[in-house]
Amino acid sequence: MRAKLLIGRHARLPARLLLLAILLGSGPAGASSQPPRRFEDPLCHVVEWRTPPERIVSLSPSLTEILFAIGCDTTQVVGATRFCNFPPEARDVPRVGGIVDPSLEAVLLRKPDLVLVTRGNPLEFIESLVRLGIPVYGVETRGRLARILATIAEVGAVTGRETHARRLIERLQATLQDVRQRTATLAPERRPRVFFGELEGAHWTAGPGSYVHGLIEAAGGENIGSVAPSAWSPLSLETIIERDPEVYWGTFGEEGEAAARERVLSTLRNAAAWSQTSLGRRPRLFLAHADVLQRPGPRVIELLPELARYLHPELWSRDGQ
Amino acid sequence: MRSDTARKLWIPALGILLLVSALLSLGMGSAEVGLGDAFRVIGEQLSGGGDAGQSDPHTTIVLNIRLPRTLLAILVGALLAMSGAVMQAFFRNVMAGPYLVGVSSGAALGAVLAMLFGWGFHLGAFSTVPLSAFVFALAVVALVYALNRRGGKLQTEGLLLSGIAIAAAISSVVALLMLMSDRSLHQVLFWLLGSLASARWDHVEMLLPYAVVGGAVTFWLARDLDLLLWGDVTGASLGVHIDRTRTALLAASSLMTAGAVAFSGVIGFVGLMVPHMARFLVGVPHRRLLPAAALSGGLLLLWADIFARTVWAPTELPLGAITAIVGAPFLVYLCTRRRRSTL
Repeated sequence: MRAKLLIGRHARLPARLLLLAILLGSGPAGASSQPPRRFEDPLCHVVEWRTPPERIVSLSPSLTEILFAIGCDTTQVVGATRFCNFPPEARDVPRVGGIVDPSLEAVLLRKPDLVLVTRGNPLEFIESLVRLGIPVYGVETRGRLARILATIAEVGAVTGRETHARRLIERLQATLQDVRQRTATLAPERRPRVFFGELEGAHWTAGPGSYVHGLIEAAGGENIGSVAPSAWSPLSLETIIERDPEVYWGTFGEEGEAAARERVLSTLRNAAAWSQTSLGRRPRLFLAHADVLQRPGPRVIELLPELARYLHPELWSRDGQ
Repeated sequence: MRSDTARKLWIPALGILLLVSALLSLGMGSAEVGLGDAFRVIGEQLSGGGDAGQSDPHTTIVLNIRLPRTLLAILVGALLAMSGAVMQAFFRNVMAGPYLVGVSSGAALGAVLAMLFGWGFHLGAFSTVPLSAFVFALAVVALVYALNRRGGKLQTEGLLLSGIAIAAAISSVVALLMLMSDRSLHQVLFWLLGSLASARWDHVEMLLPYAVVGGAVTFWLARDLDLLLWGDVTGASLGVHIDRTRTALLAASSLMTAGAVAFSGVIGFVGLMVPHMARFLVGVPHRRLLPAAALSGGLLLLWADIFARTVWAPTELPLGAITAIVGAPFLVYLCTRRRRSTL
């Protein structure tokens, strides 16, 4: 296994790749006409198959969304976490536990030929799966907007659904490009200052390196959290106030959008610090479902036109769309 | 030994130091609002020129962010320190304090329950979060008292052990609650480490009654605290109504801890360290010790918070982590001086 991994790491040059293909193809396993396809994840897990996986278990709601978005259905996705509720069909997939507490037995009972994991799933759990000989592939889902497209491409490749994935990526890229083209020429003073995150508590916010930051910038806004030291971190209230936010971008969960809006407005009105900001004087709120924002997947990018239209309705009214 | 007058002078000295620190604190933070701006804003307010409708961010930052935060830091520090001073006398143990005895954990459990299960409504001016914190703090302190009482006498050797056991049990319950509720985990976690990042004027207003009632009761019983140090029998022979006094002191120290925890999370070691520093400065008598502890507690927590909000600006460090970095070595120091551990 280790020797294979070393070859895999150095096989970036086409010539070596060819050599590797010949070596693998000439082995006893190479009886069939085609060499097996081989994938290696950032954790050095190797997945090999000749026919695409047919029983996939996903240990992350964002990966489940991506699997369905590239054309898998409940016959291929045979296991998911109890948080996987989108698309609606995902609710019918047998549950194998949570994200941080998946059940080894439940996963095994699904007889998977591929388990997709990501950051947040316990490493020991992943290693147990590997030791039991179950093909595991880990995807880094967190990162910038481009990471979402890369994740879709990776999931598409390892599940043998590249064509579907490519089509989805092209569609999402077109969405990104359309919005970026409209907002590209906006002067800095026409970019509203957006605060995303908590109005209370430690004021956790999305910093540079997060896809939320990418969405705000692409939508023609200025992210107040761009001064934060990491992708998700507490930001001092006085820094937020000093930068004078104009738009608040928040999330709502089970409470629903109306209740969340009411809660946000009451905080903006009542907290002395907020009521003095541009946002407090003239609240502009953009609220999105927490599930969408917590799961780096197609829906995050599909949210971009909505956000951009909210920030810059004039850019859309001109061409009558 | 310093003279009594020299010791008495420490109290006004600490008061002046605290006042100066509080003024300096208004000029420190992640936003570029310095001391000059802070004084200008304060000056405008005092001269009545500050227009409340104006939205000068400097004014907002100084008056609505830094000022309440400074006051809250002082109040929380003072409450934890007084609570610690009471517990050290009550349990006749130098290592007692709201954190190590487990009272802070109890208060945290009450507060987390109130936050997670939406008991967070307001009863008039009183938020249910500190009330729930108070109930649980009182329950823990009563439990600790019961666990350490044998044959009608308070045995204090096992105090820290029972505190550790209680804190461990409670933190596992809190962890389970957080897992099950599946809501804003990082938010509760940050709060559990202690933070004043969300300090607001209404927090100061809500905490003030806890400080006034708790402080008044303990100061009223300062002489009894001195006598309790000699033990139950001596105390009783000198006219202390042991049970009534004990109940009042336990309630007061729980009240002070619960108030502090409800608005700032669990900030450890302040209640342990500060009474020792104060005792070093003004001596054992509680009439002097309590105000000195309150002032030094405010001073310590104020500077810890200034550190927390400036050192890695614009993000913030959890305040409890900073006090623990200073406090844990202090605990080790106390342990190594065990032989001289009587007050």
